[in-house]
Amino acid sequence: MVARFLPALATVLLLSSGCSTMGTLHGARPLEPGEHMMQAALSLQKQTNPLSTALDAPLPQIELGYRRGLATDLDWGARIFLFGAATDLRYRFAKLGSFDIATQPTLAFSTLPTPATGFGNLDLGLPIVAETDLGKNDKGSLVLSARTVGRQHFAWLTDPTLGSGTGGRFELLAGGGVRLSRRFRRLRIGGYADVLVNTSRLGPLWWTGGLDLALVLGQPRAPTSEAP
Amino acid sequence: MRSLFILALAALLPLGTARADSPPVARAAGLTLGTVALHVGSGEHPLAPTIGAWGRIPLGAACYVEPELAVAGRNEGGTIAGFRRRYARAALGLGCSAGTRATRVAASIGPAVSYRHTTIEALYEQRYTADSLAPGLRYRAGFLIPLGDRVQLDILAGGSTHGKVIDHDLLLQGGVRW
Repeated sequence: MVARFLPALATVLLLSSGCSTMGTLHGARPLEPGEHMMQAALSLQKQTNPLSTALDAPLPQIELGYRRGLATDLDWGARIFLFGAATDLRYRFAKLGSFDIATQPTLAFSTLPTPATGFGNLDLGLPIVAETDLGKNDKGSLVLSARTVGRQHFAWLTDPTLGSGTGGRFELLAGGGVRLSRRFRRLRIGGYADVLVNTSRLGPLWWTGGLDLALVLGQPRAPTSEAP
Repeated sequence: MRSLFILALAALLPLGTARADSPPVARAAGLTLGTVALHVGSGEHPLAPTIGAWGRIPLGAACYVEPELAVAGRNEGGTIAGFRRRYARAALGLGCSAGTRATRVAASIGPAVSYRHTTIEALYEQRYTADSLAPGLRYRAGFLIPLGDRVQLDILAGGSTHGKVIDHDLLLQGGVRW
């Protein structure tokens, strides 16, 4: 029974790939040194890949991530998704009232190569993220984010008849998102919704909505007398 | 190559170091290297290398004024026509920064003036040129990264307007601080 649907599922997953995810997967509180985290996320995205654009319908995306604390207020993360990967640094640079404020410069690469042609994106994202506690027991949090993404899109063609060639274009995306998350001991569950607009060619809004599950491992190391 | 450049920039972020008594924003000056996405007539933004010079004058503990000069060029050739584009910009930004480590997150905005020169060389030795000088707005955000007491590296992304068009850029600024 399941085998009947596997080819269709594989086709949908393949065609929904080729673009990096742009959801607010993290808050503004970096892991402490000694801590690390595994994360899985499942989302729906619209307008972020060619098939979604053609069908004018949202398509699924899945990603797996890893983070670890590097220093106070600084952690590093990496994630893979269909078909691409991303890495980022998160730096909490300010506190404003009850909000922690961080930036998370992200480099993402995604591609969908075939024997004759292919395309890909190289994205540099610069989000600003603000996070505050929700509820009396501080186990929930609200995250607001604003981001720009510089995207270099490239495509290539290798055809014995038509010949070969490459092309590309740069686009600037801008938008924001909201995230709600809750902690259960070492487990974190979150949901997010993000909206982006392509400022280089104005068109329909792009959106992403998803759920994620994360497990925090390790123990924070005692603070050192490190100079800022 | 571009990916390696961006990766190298990202790797710099945790490296900011400074003495505890060092000012968050110091006087600094140096050279700029980067890439600019120039808006062209087709509406596209082809990338071009850019070089320039910059300076920084602190205003209080966290803010600063930053004069900046940059030039860029890009040649595109085809069988029918070739395009040679030259670009120059002068800008003065007012910025502020924040940080809990030596590396600071910063944003600036200010006036700019930019100049464009385009030469089109077509078949049969036809040659056309166009020049444009226009005021605009310069804005950017990124990271100010002190490396000890004497060296400053900044990673800044932003853009500037030229009439109704917008150019984007990603820059590495290196220089001395004092």
